[in-house]
Amino acid sequence: MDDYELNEILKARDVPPMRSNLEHRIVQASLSVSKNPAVSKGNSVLAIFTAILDAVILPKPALSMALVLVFGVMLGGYSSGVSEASTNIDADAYFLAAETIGYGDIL
Amino acid sequence: MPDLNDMTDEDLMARVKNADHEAFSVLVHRYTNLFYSAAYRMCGQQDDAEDIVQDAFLKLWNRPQVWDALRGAKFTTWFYRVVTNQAIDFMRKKKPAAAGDALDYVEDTRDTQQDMMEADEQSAMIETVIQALPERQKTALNLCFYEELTNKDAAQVMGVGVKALESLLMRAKSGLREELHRRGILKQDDNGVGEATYYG
Repeated sequence: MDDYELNEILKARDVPPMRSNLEHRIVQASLSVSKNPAVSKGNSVLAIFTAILDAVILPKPALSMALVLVFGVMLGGYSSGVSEASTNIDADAYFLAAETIGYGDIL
Repeated sequence: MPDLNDMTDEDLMARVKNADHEAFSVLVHRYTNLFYSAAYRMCGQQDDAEDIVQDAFLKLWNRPQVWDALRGAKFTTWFYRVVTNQAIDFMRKKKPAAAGDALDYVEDTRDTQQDMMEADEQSAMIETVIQALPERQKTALNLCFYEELTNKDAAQVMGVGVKALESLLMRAKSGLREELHRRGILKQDDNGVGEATYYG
């Protein structure tokens, strides 16, 4: 058999028409889902800035919560250290004054 | 300002590289139907074909720098490669077993052949037989027979030499001929040579 008969059969293969809104769907998806980074790729400074911005930009709920939590713990720890330090300073000053007064009395 | 619709694909791609969304939109409207057909012939499912084309275009939009006009390939040839690879990845994820051997999993419908007199049923059977071809043979057949690419372009799309492509085509047609004969769509004449039987 030559290819003619086989080709005739293969030609009977149908492709159902695509949905009429597929083109619109693709264009909308390109707008909403992603951005074209082509321009920033060409400029290294801008690319770095964009990369940093991408890393911290909101909304990223999990990342935001983690950052807030870490900030909160650090701030709490720092505040606690500061208040303890200031208390110690006050106590030192008090005892120094007391000792001075005491020695003064003795002397 | 020049009319984007009059621009060549390559000029539009140069604009897409500069994040010109209008140029991207023109390419989408120009080629969605063509590449949808190609994707459908690869996967055989309307929804899957639409997703494949959409993903391919989104890749194009997100990473236009992978298109290099200086390499000399036409945009369509290059994008056939993107769509074909996308379709192959899609099918491998969906049906890992389908990457296996030739016609092993094609359902044997010889018992019901007498009932299959409708043209759409024959078309469905042809679809099944083609989909059962090994991946590379099917791709070669689709690109050369249905998309009407030259052997050179099809070979470029598949990343093989022209001789290898011709070999794939020959094996694809040989496998199809055998399977269509087994299913009674192709009859053999007195000389042992098959002839087509048309329904509907």
